[in-house]
Amino acid sequence: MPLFVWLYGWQLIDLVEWRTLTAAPFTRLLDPAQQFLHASPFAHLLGAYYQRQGLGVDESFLVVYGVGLVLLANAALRLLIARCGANYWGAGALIIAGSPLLLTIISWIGKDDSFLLAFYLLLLLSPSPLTRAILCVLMVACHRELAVAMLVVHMLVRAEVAAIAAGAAAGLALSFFHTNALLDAAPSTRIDYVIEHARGLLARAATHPLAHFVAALGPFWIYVLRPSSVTLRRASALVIAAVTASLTLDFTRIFVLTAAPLLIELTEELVTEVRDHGGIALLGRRWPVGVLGVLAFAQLQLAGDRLSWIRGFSWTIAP
Amino acid sequence: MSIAQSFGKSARDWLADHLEPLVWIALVLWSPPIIFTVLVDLGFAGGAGSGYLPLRDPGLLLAIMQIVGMAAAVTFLRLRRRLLAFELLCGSLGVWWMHAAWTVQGRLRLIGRSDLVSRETLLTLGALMLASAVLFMVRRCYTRPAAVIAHPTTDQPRAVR
Repeated sequence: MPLFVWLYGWQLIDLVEWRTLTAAPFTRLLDPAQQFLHASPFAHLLGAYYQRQGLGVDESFLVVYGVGLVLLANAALRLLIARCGANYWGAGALIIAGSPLLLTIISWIGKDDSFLLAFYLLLLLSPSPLTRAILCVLMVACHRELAVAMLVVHMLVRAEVAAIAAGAAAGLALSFFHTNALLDAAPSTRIDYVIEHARGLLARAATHPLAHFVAALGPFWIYVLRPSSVTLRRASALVIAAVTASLTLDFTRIFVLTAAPLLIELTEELVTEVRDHGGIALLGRRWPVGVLGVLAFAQLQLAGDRLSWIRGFSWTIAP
Repeated sequence: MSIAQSFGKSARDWLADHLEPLVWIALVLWSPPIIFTVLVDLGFAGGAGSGYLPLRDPGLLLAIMQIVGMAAAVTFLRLRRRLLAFELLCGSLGVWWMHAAWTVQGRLRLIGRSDLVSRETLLTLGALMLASAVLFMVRRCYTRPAAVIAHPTTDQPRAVR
């Protein structure tokens, strides 16, 4: 992982919005095009709390997103050990590293993605329905629309509904209360943006379908598209992820986060195969997981000239 | 068992199962401001304004004692030393009550009796009572020795295999 982070670097985002939203979290000060951020108040409220307790703007940013990354690392490790076993959690980590999840987490520091994913992983670990419902509420507080898409994919893939649906409904109700009662005026939402720009977004998404397809899951596609992995439920989950990504024109971050429940389930399945047969069946032969782990470093969709070892390399999707 | 008793038992079990995450949440919320204040006092960080408590202030010292106690408690919870962890949490709660008393007396002198019904004081009092109630509810789960599960045996001599 340190090699991956060194190779791809990290990127901070939404620093100006952070300053505005944490200074006055209940006041609508952003431009209409940015007001959808009010529907993702988790980190901003936490930052506002820290600033009220004396931390500076930059320090609160560091603490909030540092806590998010530590929480995610802890939840991921616990989940890998719980689902893959103490001897095979490394294999699980190598398999999931083939997806752009890690790249997404380190490329959008300033979004609530680390918290969103950490709460989802904790949800998978928790046996208590009440805890699962609370974690769903927290996920919705991190990113209303993306969390709902993730939870729908989760319900499709894992076929469990009650606690998840109750938690998502409670989260949506609280989110509505936050944006429509606690804020001084209701902000524009992501749905408003999508309705206004749907035609243009879909047209742009259709311009380079192959590039978008490859960028969506990167090398992880080789696991997803194995004949033994494809089921109707999983295909539906991928369609949901593709539609959500098309409407945001974000075929890396949005696609991979929406499809995260599917990736995690598939990883568990692949680790079972590694445990039983010593490798993963691909292209007519069985590959040791250590060899496939190299695929983690083939995340080219976002890297561009950020790759330390190929300065000047550029992959532009748009013409 | 009545519905109220059943609900109470479920609530107690849930709180006992989630005591460690709850302590972690409190630590994540309370530690950074305290650590930052200490860093400002030691000159390692530039303050975002004025009004940081000096290192010799009893309020800051009590807050440091509280988070150190809580951090030790979660460590011992991880090490399965549940009784010691529970005692440390009770100690931290006691320190928190002292911290609240110290803060309220200072504010009473500065602001007057109207501070007794201020939002800050009521919130602090509510949080303290909630934390005390949680520790009271889960006390049996942490202070009783774990039930020993043993296979039933007879007094016959063990068979030689």
